[in-house]
Formats: sequence, structure tokens, C-alpha cells
Amino acid sequence: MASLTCTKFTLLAAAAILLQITGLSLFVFGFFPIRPALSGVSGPESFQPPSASCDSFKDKNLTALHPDQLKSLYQELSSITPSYDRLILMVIDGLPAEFVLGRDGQPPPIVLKDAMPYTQSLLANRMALGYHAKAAPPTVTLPRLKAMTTGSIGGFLDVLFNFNTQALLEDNIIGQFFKIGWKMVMLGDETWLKLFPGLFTRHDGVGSFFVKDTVQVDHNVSRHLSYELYSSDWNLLILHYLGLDHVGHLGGRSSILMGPKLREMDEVIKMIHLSTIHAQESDHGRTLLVVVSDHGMQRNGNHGGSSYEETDSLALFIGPRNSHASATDDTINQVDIAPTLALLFGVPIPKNNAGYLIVDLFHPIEDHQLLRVLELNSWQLLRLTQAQSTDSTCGSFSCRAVKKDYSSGHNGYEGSLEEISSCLYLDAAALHRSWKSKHVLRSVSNDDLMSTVLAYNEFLRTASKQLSHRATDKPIGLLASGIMAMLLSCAMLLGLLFKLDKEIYPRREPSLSDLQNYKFQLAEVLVVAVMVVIVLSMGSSSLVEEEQYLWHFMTSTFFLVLLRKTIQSAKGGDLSNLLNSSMGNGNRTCIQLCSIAVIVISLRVLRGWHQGGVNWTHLPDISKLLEMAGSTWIRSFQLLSVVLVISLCLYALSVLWSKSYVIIVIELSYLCVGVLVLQYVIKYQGSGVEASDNDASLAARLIYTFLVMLTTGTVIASPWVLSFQNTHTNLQDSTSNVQSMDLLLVIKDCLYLSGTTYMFGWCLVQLLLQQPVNLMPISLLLMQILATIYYASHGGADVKQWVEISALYYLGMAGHFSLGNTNTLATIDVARAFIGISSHSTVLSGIIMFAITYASPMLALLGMVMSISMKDINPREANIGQLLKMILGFPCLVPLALNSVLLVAYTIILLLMRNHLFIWTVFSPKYIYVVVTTVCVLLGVLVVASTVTYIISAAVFLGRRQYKQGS
Amino acid sequence: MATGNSISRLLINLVTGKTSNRVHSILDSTSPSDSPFSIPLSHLQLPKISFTFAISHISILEKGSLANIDKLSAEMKNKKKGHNIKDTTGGDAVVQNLSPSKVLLSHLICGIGLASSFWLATNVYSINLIDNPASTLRLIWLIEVPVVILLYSLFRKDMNQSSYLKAVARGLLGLLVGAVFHALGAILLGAPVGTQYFLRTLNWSLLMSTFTFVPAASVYGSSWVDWHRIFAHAKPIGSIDYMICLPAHGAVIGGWFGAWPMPLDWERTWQEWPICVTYGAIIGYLVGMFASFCCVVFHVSSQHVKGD
Repeated sequence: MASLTCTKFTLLAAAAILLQITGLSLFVFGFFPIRPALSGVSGPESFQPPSASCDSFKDKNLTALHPDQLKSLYQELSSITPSYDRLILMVIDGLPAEFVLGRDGQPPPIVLKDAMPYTQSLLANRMALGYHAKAAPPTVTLPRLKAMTTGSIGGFLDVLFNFNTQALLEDNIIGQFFKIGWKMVMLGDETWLKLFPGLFTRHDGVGSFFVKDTVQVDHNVSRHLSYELYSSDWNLLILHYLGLDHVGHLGGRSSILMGPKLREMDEVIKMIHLSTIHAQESDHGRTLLVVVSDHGMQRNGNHGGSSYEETDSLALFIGPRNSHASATDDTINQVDIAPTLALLFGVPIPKNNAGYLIVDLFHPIEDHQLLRVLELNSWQLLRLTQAQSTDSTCGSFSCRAVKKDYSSGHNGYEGSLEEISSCLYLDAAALHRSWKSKHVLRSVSNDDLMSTVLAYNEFLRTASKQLSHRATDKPIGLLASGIMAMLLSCAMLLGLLFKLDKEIYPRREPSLSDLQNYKFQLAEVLVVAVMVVIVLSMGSSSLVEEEQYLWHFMTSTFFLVLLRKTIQSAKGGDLSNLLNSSMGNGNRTCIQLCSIAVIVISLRVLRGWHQGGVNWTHLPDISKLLEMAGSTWIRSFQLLSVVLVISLCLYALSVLWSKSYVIIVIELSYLCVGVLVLQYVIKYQGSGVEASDNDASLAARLIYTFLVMLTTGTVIASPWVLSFQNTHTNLQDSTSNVQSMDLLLVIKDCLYLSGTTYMFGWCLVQLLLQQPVNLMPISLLLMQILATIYYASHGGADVKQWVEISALYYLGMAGHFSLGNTNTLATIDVARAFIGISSHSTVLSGIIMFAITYASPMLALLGMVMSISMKDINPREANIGQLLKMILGFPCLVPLALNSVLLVAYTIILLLMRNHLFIWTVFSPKYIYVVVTTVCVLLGVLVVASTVTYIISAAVFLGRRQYKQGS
Repeated sequence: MATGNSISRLLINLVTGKTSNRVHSILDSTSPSDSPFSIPLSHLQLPKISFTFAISHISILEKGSLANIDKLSAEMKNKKKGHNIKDTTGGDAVVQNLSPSKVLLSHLICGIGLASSFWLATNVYSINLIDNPASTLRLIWLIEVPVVILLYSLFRKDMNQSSYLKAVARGLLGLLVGAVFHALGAILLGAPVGTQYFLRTLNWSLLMSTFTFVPAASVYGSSWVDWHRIFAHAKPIGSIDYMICLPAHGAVIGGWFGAWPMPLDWERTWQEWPICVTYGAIIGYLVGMFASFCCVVFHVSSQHVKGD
């Protein structure tokens, strides 16, 4: 078997990593489409045509305008008289449109029809217009409400970009109504209150998470109804009924509770219709009742995916007038509700709206007003397409598509959707102009109107399709190529790992090693089993939520198996050695046992520190106990952990092989930083002023600078300083053997020194950054990692290196959850990301946030340098490349390979789960964590690899120079 | 020279088909006159002394010739494809072989003990594991402990040196030590700590100890080598070893797997500590007993074949 050369190995590994990064970015951009949303709010400019230049909008000071003034300004600009004065938006959570309108032209089943007699009679009398409103996945309440009010189809990354606040920042009709001075009342699901804080005059929110309650949730809404319907101070009344969704979750579509619930909803509709719309008292104004559902449900009542049953939501418009059109089986998009309502009530269409208006609702309407609403919608969509168009020549809507066939009318364009839509707009605008000129001349015919309306409709449909496709389409090619690239890179990394493993541990003769092999297999099998278990658990949403239990259980099991192995290797006679541990062998076993005891005990303490996950967060844990016990306890634990870290650091530095003044200087500077951190912790931490206080941020910055300088300085200087020191001591006897031994010791010392520097530097930063309660876990984590390295270095060849590095990786992952992290985005500590930053900087605070969240995996990865320094380096290895490959390449491959397995597996699972109910709430956030973990692993390995390479090459270079000088 | 003598005896024994695992038995059979280490291993009048002596004896042995012995024994095994366990040299019969029917009977007695405790719990005390885990576990171990101790003390290894009562006492001691061991292990693996869980953990660990430590303590006493062989290496030789080793490992592994449903959000009461772990352990214990019976049957039949 030809062994790989170092260059070839490096190239292959680098290629695999590059492939992984490429595949990952391809997949992420394919799966989470980034939708360039326009910021800001539509104002009067939306009643003017989009101009040719990109940003012609003159920022008039509109805030100064009184809401009533604004309202009249809008009316004047739009030249449309609003059809209605008041709006009742009744949301029935989870009601499939099928229940009311039937499917495929068929009326709904007689049972359902009987359950809603009043609504059916309204539909039959053409008092109401009903539509199948197609909802875009994810079909869960929050994104659907966003879609209905903004008219835009949200992407998942929106959540990431504003995970800080739940309030809807995008332009929406509720906000527009608020601006023109509407009084609004909200009854029902409290999601509305989170989305629109402070906009409602009166509200009664009900929680939506107690699914078992199907009666009280709706009663809480209806009890206010009689009062609200007779009061005249509001313009918008939102009723959000959750009961039907709960019925579905409990018993599915055909639940016995479904009929009564529908009847209850029908009663509400009847009550509203009779009391406000039918009566039409003059002081209440004209009221429009819109009954919508946010999403449908599957046969078993679940929702979230993109099947017809789930996306088939209802939009029912009940107005005072008989409509001439009966459109019970028309299909619209859910986003069409927003522009329709905006135009009906005379407010600007929200900026990011991708829907187009429902023309039927505007009848009866004068011709020029009809064309005007179409025009307004077209302008808004055109603005949005312009903003999203990839080419920079915004505003020049030249028609670049080729007209295929002039005779076949408007459908004749060829080219991309984008090009076609701009052509269609030009056509429609031209027709509108000609209609206008004819209208002035009073020579307009009905045909002209019809063709203009058709042209506008054509454009609106095309543009809307174009916009919504951009938001929801998952480009299969992109996803597939991304996954293929990641799979390939995973295979390459695993292949390299196996090849190197074979080179480093050549197969022993089977006759002798049967017994030995059996003994060591269990730990190795368990390393693989951990991966298999974690990968399998990723398919279950509840195990993703409670992932910390798995990591802890598997890691503890792994170390208990190592414990058993240690006892196993202690032969019968070792017990007496243990008892009077004077003999070398027994001493070794004793050290191993002690380190494992330290590891498992601190693992258990770490597990109990934060009750992570989702379902059992209310159970008591150590952090809650400490917080209840008061700040004195937290304070003493803080001090204890700082002192612990500093003393561990000093101890670790003091056991270095070479004693010299340099080490003492380094020790002293660490002591200095430690004291600084201690002072910071005592003075500022937990006082609540950390991020804002000037002195605190100054102190934090001082510590940052000091630590960064100390760490980089130590790492860069260590080979030079330590080899020069050797020159003085061992100049006289420079036989080649001694020389190489010397070189070896220098390398080991340098690696050890750098590893210590990295780990303690990182820990000290963490002591500064983490929340006060988390300082103890940091020091426990440090102890664990040191104990693991210590165990492996005293285990001789018993523990293979890849097992050791995997153990470090697992400890890092288990520790990640012990610091209070979960797989939801809610636990990211945003507040502490501004420690030591004077001005708001997204990049810097992002880096600090990363450091806080990934403290534990990063610490484990940095521990690899120290672990490498403990390994036996074969001094006869003449080729520096070979040396590097063996002592550096192999350990670095382990976390890369483990992580790539997790990444690929989870990517595939995410793709399989794309229609799962929890895809946006559980699986996608977890994927973000997996991606950032990948970044963390790549960064950590990069640091380790560059450090070790630098130290070895510098030491070898210096050693050769010394040798030449000596001879 | 005692050591030299022992080694030569050992080598002879090896040739006649013994394995190095029974070094101490050979030591015991050396004549008292020519060795200071002549106190038999299992003189339970002075258990500690004999134990220490045996240990030091072995360690001396090891330093010299362990590698050779290992090699030899491995070669022997390769040649013979399976090891002949039957100790024909007489003296202290170190490896007692029970007939499969006896093994079956004793396993059945243990199983019946377990079943009757469940029967008592449901029909007499009307408690069950899910609603009253602590009291049910207490009932189970209270019934199972005497069954196991009385049964396994019959098979005590050092039949001649220690009385039946002594073996029973060892079993009771083993119960306590094992309970501490299991409770520690469970807590390390994530069992909840707290006053409301104290009784459950205590009773659970006593039950686990009944499955694992009690039989071993009754049979082997404080013989480190046997414990090491059974629990660290899981290398049973002879039917008693199988009877102890496999059910104990079954119980531990079953309990480990039984913990798996705990983090799932099914909201069932049986997911609580230690209910599903107990179920897993009991199932594992039963499977282990069945496996040990199968092994013994297979073992005996293969021995018969070899004998022919």
C-alpha cells in the first residue's frame, strides 16, 4: 500500500474542505432563499408611477402629518373613493376552504354544509364572495399572518435577521391603517399582539399553545363580541378564533367536535352580519366582513407543510352589496388579500406585497377607478420587481423579450419571466394611456376597457408569479449539487481518515491480538455508535429539541466504558498496586481512574447546570438554584471558577519540561490577565451595567487586547525562545541522536506551551463573556478536557488517537448544551454580545456572539494542540512532511470527518423533512446551528493546523541551523 | 523456590489444558511445605490475608512470565479450538459445572421470584410500577433478594472453606455495595438527583444490585480475579460463571437501553425515572438468563463431543 505524501494529503484534505464549503453554501442558498425585502413603508409616493431612476423618492416629512390629513392626502392622490369604512377581519385558525366552498367545483359534504347554514345561504344569495386562498408553506400561523398583512411571502432567514424581536417590521396593512388614524381592536390569538405591539386600542389575547382547550379559547373571543359590535369607535376589528385548529389537532378533520365548532363559527358570522352589515346603521359606516383562515389542515389535523389540504385556506368577503359575480370556486393567493384590502380602504399597498388585487370585490366601480386600482397595484409590483431584479439597470423597463407571435395576443412573449413582465407592463401602460386619451375625447369603447383590464391582469399575474416563485421555489439542481458536493467531501474525509489510520496502526498479527482487539473495540465501537445515534435522532423533532440528553448520555457511557477498559487493563495483581500505589503500572492506572472520575463527575454536574431543551425547562437545575439562592452564591462560584482556571493554567505551565525565565514571564502575564479578569468579574459582572458602562467596556477591551497579544506572541515566539535556550545548554554534545531528541523535546514543549496558551486564553475570554452563572461550567469544561488529554497521555497506545480526539469533540458538544444552549434560536445570548464594544458593530458583536455560543466546542478543538503535544513523535521520521501528516493531519481529520458526517446527514434529513409540521420551528433552527458548528470546526482546525505547522517548521529550521553552526 | 515451582506446575497444567485464568487454583494446590505462600486462597477464616497473599503471588508471577503464559495459552486455544474447562485434577474444584437442568431450575426460581413479586404487587398490595415506583421496586427486591441469595449461596465457589451462612452474609454485603455502585452509575448517566427521587433511586439500585452484585458476591466472595473476569472482561468459564455473568450484563445493558425513551415528549408516566429503566433491566435480565441457559446447554454438549 503506497502511503500518501504530505503534499498529496494536504491537497486532498483542502479539496474536501473546499468542496464541503461550496456544497454547504449551494444548499443554504437553495433552501433558504434570500428575498431582498424593501425596507420602509409605502407612503404617498406609491400613488405616483415608479420613475426611471432608482431612488427618486423624495423623503417628504410625512410624520408631521396628522393621520386624518394623511388619510385625505391618500384619497386625493389615489382619486379613489374607499368602498368601505370599517373592516372586521375574522380569522378562523386552520379552517380549510373545502369545508365552506367545496372542492373541484363540488359543493362541500352535506354534513359540513348543514353545519354552517348561514354562511352557505350568504354564498347562495351572492351576498358573500368566497375564494380558495392558496397559502404558501410553512403553513403555520405566524408566517401566514405575516403574509396576509404584508402581502409578501416570507423566507426563513427573515427569522434570523430579526430574531431579536417578534414585532413585524415590514410594511403591512395594519401599520398603514394605524397611520391613517384607525382605531383597532384585537380579540383572539396573542400572536397578533406580538406582531403588532401597541397598535391596538383594545385587545384580549389568548395563548395558542394549550391545544387541549377547544371551548374556552373561543369563548374568550366571543364574550367581547356583543359589546364591540355595538360600539362604534373602532375601524378594524380582528377576531382570531383558535378553537377549530385545536379541534383539528385533537381529532383530525372528521372529529366529532368539528360540526359544533363550525356551527359556532357560523353563529358568529351570522351575528356580525345581522348586527353590523345587514343593519348598516349610518353612524357605523359601511362595514366589510372578511372571514379568512390562515391555513388548512391535513386529514389528521396537522399542518405546516405544502399539501393541498394544508394550503387550502379560506377567504370569504361579506359586504353589504350583492355582488354580481359568484366566485365560489376561484383560487387566489393568500397574499392577494393585502393589496385588495389596502385598495378597498384607500391606503398604500405594502411595499413588499407580491399579491394582486381581487377585481371582483371592487364591483360596482367606475371604469377609470377600476383602471386606477389596477394601475396602483401594477406600480407597486413593478417597484418590487425592479428592486429585486438582478441587473443594475433599474428603472429602464425596456422590452427585451421577443414577441413571438403578434396575432396571438398578450401571451406571446418569450424570454425570462422578468423580461416578459416588463413587456407586459409596457403594453398595459400604453393601453391605459390610449384609454385615457380616448376617455377625454369620449370615444372610448367597452372593448378598450376590457383589453386594458386584461393587459393589467396579465402583467399583475405574471409579476406576482415571478415574485412568489422567487420566494418559495427550491431549485432542485442547486440543492442536489450541494448535497452531492457535501457527500463527496464527507467520503473523501472518511477515506483519508481510514487510510491514515491504517498507516499509523498497521494490523497486528491476528493470532496474538485476538484478545487485545476485543478489549479495545468497545470504546471504538461506541465512538461510531454515538455518531449513528445522533444521526438517527435527528429525524425526530422531539429528540432534536432534547438533543442535550443524547450527547450527555452517550458521552457519559463512552467514558464509563473507558473506565471499564481501564479496570480491564489493570490485571488482577494491580489491585494491590492500587492499594499501595508505589509501582509504576498501578500508579498509571490510578491516574487514569482519577481522570475518568473527574470527567464523569463534571459531566454530570454540567448536565445538571442548565435544564436545557424545550419540554423540561421548568424542572429545577443548578443555575436556577443558584439564582434563587442569591447573588452571594453566584459570586462565590464565579470567584471560585476564576481562581480555578488561573491555578490550572499556572499548574499546566509549571509542568513544562524546560524551565526558564520565559516560562516564568508567561506565567506572570497569565496571572496578570487572570487578576484583571477577576477584578472585572468582581466589579462589573452581574451588575447589569456591563454592556453600557464605559469603564467596564474599557476594561473588557484591555483584557481582549492583552490576551490576543499574549497568545499570538507566545505562539509565534515559542520555537525561537525555546530553541535558543537549548543552544546554550546543549551546545557541547551535538551528536545527531541527541540533536534529534533535543529537537523533539523543543517541538513538544512548544506545542504544549501553545496549546496551554490557546486553551487558557479562550477560557479567560469566556470567563469575561459568559453570564455569571456559566463561569463554573467553563472551568469544569476546562478540567474535563485537561483530564481527557491527561488520561490519553497516560494510556499509552491503549487509546487510539482518533478515539481521544472524538472524545474531545463529544465533550465539546455535550458542553455546548451544558452552557445553556439549545437548538432554538431563543437561547442565543444577544445582550452579552456587546461587552467591550463601544459602538454598535454587527461584525464585532457577531464574533462575540459566536464566541459565547460556541465556547465549548471551540475549547475542545483548541485542546487538540495540547493533545498533539502529548503524543510520541517518532524522531527517526526524517521527512518533515511525513511527520506533519502523522502527528497533525490525522488528529485534524477526526473532527472534520465527524462534523461532515453530521452535516451531510442533517442536510439530507432537512430536505426529507421539508414538509414537516416543525420544519420552520425545529428543524431549520437546528440546521443553522449545524452550519455554524461546521464553521466552528473549520476555524478550530485551521487554528490548530496552522499553529502546529508553524511550530514544527520553525523548530526544524532552527534545529538545522544550530546543527550547521555546531558542526 | 516457590515461584519457580508454581510456574513449572503452571506450565504443566497449561499443557494439560488449563488456562492462565486459574492461576490461583494452582497456587492453592501447591504443597504447604515448600512455599511461604501456602495459605490457601480461600481460607475464609483469614480472607483478607489470603487474598493479599494470593494477589502478591500472582503479581510476582506476572512480572516474570505472564507474557509467556499468555502466549502459550493463546496457542493452546488455537490448537484446541475451544477450551476444556473441566477440572479433573480434583482438590478444590474451582470450576463447578452444573448440569443444564440445574441451571434451568435456578433461573426458573429467580424468574418465578420476580413474577411472584409482580403478582403480589398487583393483586395483594394493588400497587404497580408506574403509579408507585418506589414501593413496587421495594417489594420486588425484598422478594427477589432472599431468593437470589439463598439460591446462589448453594453454588458458592469455595464450598469447603466457607459455610452457607457466610455466603449468605457475603450476598447481603454485596447487595449494599452493589446498590451504591449502581446508584452512582445511574446518577452519572443522568438520573435525577433530589429528595423526591431518593427513594426511587435507592430501591432501583437495590434491585439492580440483586441482579448483578448479589449472586457474584454469594458465589465468589471477595475474589478479585473472579470479579475481574466476570465483570471487566466478561469472560465466563463454566456454567456458574455464565449464570452470573450473562444475566448481570443483560440487566445493565437492558437498563441502559431502557433509558432511551425518557427524553421523548410522549408525556407518558412510564417515561419517568426509573420506570422504563427498570422494565429494560428486567427484560435484559430475563434475556440474559435465557442466554446463559442456552450457553450452558451448548457448552455441555460441546464438551460431550470433545470427550468422545
